[in-house]
Order: sequence, then C-alpha cells, then structure tokens
Amino acid sequence: MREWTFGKKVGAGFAVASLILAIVALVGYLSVDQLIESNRLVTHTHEVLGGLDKLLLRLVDAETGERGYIITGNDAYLEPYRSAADEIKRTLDELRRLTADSPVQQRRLDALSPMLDAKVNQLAATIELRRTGGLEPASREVASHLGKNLMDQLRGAVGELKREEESLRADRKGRAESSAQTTKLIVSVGTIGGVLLIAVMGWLITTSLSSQIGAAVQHVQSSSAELQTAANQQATGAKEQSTAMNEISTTISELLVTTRQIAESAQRVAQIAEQTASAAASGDRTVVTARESIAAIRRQVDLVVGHMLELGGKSQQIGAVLDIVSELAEQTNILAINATIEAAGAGEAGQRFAVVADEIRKLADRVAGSTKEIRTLINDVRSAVNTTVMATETGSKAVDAGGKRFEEVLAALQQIGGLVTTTTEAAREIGLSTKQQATAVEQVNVAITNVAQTTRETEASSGQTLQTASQLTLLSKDLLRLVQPQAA
Amino acid sequence: MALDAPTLARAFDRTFAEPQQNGAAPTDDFLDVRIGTDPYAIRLSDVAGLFADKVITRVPTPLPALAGTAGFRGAIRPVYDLAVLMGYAPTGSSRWLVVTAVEPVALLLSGFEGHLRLPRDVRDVVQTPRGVYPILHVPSVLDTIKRQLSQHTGQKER
Repeated sequence: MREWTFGKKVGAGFAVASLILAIVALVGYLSVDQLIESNRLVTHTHEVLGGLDKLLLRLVDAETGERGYIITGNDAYLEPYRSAADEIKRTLDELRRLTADSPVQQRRLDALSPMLDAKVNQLAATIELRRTGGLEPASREVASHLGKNLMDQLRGAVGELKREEESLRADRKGRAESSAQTTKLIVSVGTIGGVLLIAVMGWLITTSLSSQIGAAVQHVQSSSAELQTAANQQATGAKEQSTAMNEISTTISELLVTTRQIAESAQRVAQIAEQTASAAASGDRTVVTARESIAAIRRQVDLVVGHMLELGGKSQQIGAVLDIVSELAEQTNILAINATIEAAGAGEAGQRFAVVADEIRKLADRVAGSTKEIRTLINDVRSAVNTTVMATETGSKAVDAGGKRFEEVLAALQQIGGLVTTTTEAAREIGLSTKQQATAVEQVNVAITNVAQTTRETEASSGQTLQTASQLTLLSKDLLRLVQPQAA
Repeated sequence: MALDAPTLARAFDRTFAEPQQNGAAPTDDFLDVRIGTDPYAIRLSDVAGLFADKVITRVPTPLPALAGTAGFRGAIRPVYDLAVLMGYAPTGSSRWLVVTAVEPVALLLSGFEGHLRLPRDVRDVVQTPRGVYPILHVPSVLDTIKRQLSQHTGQKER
C-alpha cells in the first residue's frame, strides 16, 4: 500500500466506502423490499378481511331489506336486497381473485358459494312468499329459522375464512416487523461500521498521503531548489553561450572574408601556375638546346685535352733534346776549361787558342744558361699543360656534371611541368572548393545567427525558468506547510 | 729566353773578328766548386784537367780519403775525396773530378758550378755574385795526402 499511487489510494478509499454504502444500500433495499412485500401481504390480508366483512354486510343488508319488505310490504325496502344480491356475487369473485394463491381459502370459498346461493334463494323465496302470500306465510317462513341457520352457517364459514386470514395477517405482520427490525439493525450497524471504516480509511489515506505527499513535496522542494540552481547555471551558461555565439558569428564573418580572399588567391595561383607551366615548357626547350651545346662543348674539350696531351708529349721530347743539348753544353764547357788549361800549358803559342777556348767556354756557359732557362720554360709549359689538362679534365667533368645537371634540370622541369599542371588543377579545385566553402560558411553564418537568436531566446527562457523555479520553490514550501505543518 | 741561338752564334763569330786585346788587365781563372756543403774556388793553374762521369774503381786501402782509381787520358790515377780530406762527410756519389797539375792525383769534388775569371790580385778568397768563399790551396791538399801516405807507410814498415 505504501507503493500505491495517490489516485489509487483515494480510489481505493472511495471504493471501500462505496462498497460499504452499496452493501448497506443493498441490504436496506432487500429489507425494505421484504418489508414492502410483508406490508403488501398484510394489506392483501386486510383486503381479504374487508371483502369477507363486506360479504357479511351485504348478506345482512339483503336480509335487512327482506325483513323490512316482509314487515312493510313496501318495495322500497327491497332496494338493499337488490343491490346486495349483485354485490355478493362480485364480492365473492373478488375474494376468489384475492385468495387465488391460497388453495385452502379457494376450497373454503368454493364451499361458501352454495351457501350464499342458498341464502339468496331463501331470501328471494321469502320475499316472493310475502308478495304472493302476504305477511303471515312470510312470518312463518322466517320463524322456521331456516334463514337464520343459513346465516349462521355463512357466518361460521366466513369466520373460518377470517380466522385463516387473521392467522396469515399475524404471521405476515410478524415477518414485516422482523424485517423492519432487521433493516433497522443492518442500516444502523452498516452506517456505523461504514462511518468507522471510512474514518479509518480516511485516516490511513490521509496519513499515507500526507507522508507520501510530504516526502514528494520535500523532493519537489529540493528538486525545485536544484532546478533553481540549474536554471541559474543555465541562465549563466546561456548568457555565455550567447556571448560565444556572437564571437563565433564575428569569427565566421571574418572566416567568410578570408575564404573569399583564399578563393581569389587560388584563382591567381591557378593563373600563375598556368604561366609557370608555359615557362617550364619554354625552359624545357631551352634546356634541350643547352644540352646540345654542352655536348658540343664536351667534344671541343676532348679535342683540347687531346691537343694538350700532345703538347705535353712534345714538351717531353723537347726536354729530352734539351738534356742532350745541356749535356753537350756541359761537355763543351769541360772541353773549353781543359782547352784553357792546355793553352796555358802551351805558353805564348797557346794564347790565341786560349782565347778561342775561352769563347767556347763562354758559349757553353751561355748555352748551359739558355738550356736551364729553356728547361724552366719547358717545365713551365709542361706544368701549364698539366694544369691545363687537369683544368680541362676538371672542366670536362664539370661539363659532364653540367650535362647531368641539365638532364636533371630537364627532368626537374618536366616534373615541374607535371607538378604545375597538378598545381593548376589543385588550385582550380581549391578555388571551387573555397567558393563552396564560402557558400557553406554563409549558410553556417545564417545558422549561427539563428542559433544566436535561439540562444538569446534560451537565455530569456532560462530567466523565466529561473523565475518559475523560484516560484516552484516557494510553492513547494507552501505545499509542505499545508501538508506537514510541523515539517515546514 | 735571354739569348737566342743566332745571338750566340754572332757573339762566337765576333771573337774571331775582333783584334787581340794586349793591354787588358791580367786575370786568373778559377773553378767554382763545392766541397762537402761549402763553396770553394780552385785555381785553374793547379789543375791539369776537369773530368766528369769517370768510372772510379774502389781499391782496398786503409786511407779513408782514397776513393779508388780512375783512368785519365790513358793513365790510371788515384782518386782522393776532397770532402774527407777537408774534414767533411764522404761525398758519396759525385761525377766531377779534377786532376792536379803538379802530382798525378785526381780529386773528387762534391759539385762543379762553373768557371770564374777574376783579377790576378786575388789571394785567399774570391768574391763572386753568389758570395765570398775561400780558394783551395791544392799543394796543401797534396801535402796532406802525402803525409797520410807516409804515416800509413811508416805504420806498415813498423
């Protein structure tokens, strides 16, 4: 029951109360119905008794009219008799109808019917006797007590009927009273029990609901406080979000401008790339021409190297010849010196020979000096040739390297051409993408503007939420005070 | 090139065309040589001949200065290393030899640089464009050889 809902508990309380009321009402209804039935039966018995009394009264009226006519002979006295005769028959039929549920009474009425016919016929015979025979025969007839006996029998038969009915009436009256007592008892007990049960149920429901509602209200109170805090934070967050949205909107505007600039730059890059591709193609042709020139230079350098090596060989041959010349000059010098020595030994005769020897020695000295110079020059030439050959070989290698470089340059230029083509396509794609991006950024800007508007609305609604949360907190406090004054 | 062949030829021919100069200052001739590591001058009058690339045949000798023997104009002469005689380290391989005028002895030079013609008043040293250096006194060298030979002979006789 603790887990039952509010509606369930209240519904259960009302259901129990309604059930009790229904039981009480049903029992009361049944009792009243039984009482009504008992009263109806009692009334029915009274009607039967009234019909029997009426039957006897009509018989008495008929006998009274017969005796008044006998005494007076006046037909006016026969009026009760006439009306009673019809009434007796109708009353008997009425009694038959009223006692149709009782075979015993029906048999008694069946026995009563010939007696009534006999009495009416006796009265009619007496009246006829008076009308025809006069007073005397009529008086004897009366004095014969036939009429009185019939009347006594009728009274006895009616008395039995009445006793039977009286017995039924007493029985039915007792049952009616018993039913009334039972009804009173049930209504009283049911009412008191219902009231007590409803009170208990009310107390239980009130207690349960007050504790449950109190707990719920306390929850609502704490939740509303949390909601208030959350709404406060939400309001702050919404404000910060609104500020951030404004900043984002500004940034996106700047981004839009930048994107447009990028699109323009990409377009320019594409144009420059096309120009570069053209220049690369031109450079390609130039490099091909330069490569051919390099090959020609290479051939010329090879020729130069060959000539230089030949020149080196010739210089070497000159050196060999010069060695011979130098040796000759040295031998000449030795000979001239020895000739001088010999001339000096020859005395005066060798004086002119000494002069010649001296000139030969000088000549040999000069030749030796000249050969030294020539050797120096030859060495210089050979050194120069070697240097030139080395330089030429270096130049040849440089030409080869240059040729390779030109090949590389050609390959690089072709690669540049390919890359520039790729760059052009990429720049065009970048331009298109950037335009699409600019469109997308514009859409984002619109969306961000909408979001900013939504954020402002959220900020406003956050304020309202905060206000509502505050009111909810106050309301929950009031409600708790109402439900649990001691807790409030 | 400082001088060409036609110039040399003309200079050579001119010496025969020019008259003999009798009034010129008297001069002495020297050989510009190297002994050991130092330059020296040898009077040409002390020398009987200058030779190069002679085959020196080594002979067994107790004299350190005696390098061997060589043939000069049909005669065999002993060859003495001047560097050893002058107190330098042995010359080793050298191609220059002089034969002295007064004795049949050949001297091994460390090097020969050229011929010098200097005024006759030069005594002990000569002055050349390459520097100042002493004049080798060949008789003293020959005396040294003789002294060493006599010492060796004396030792042998004892």
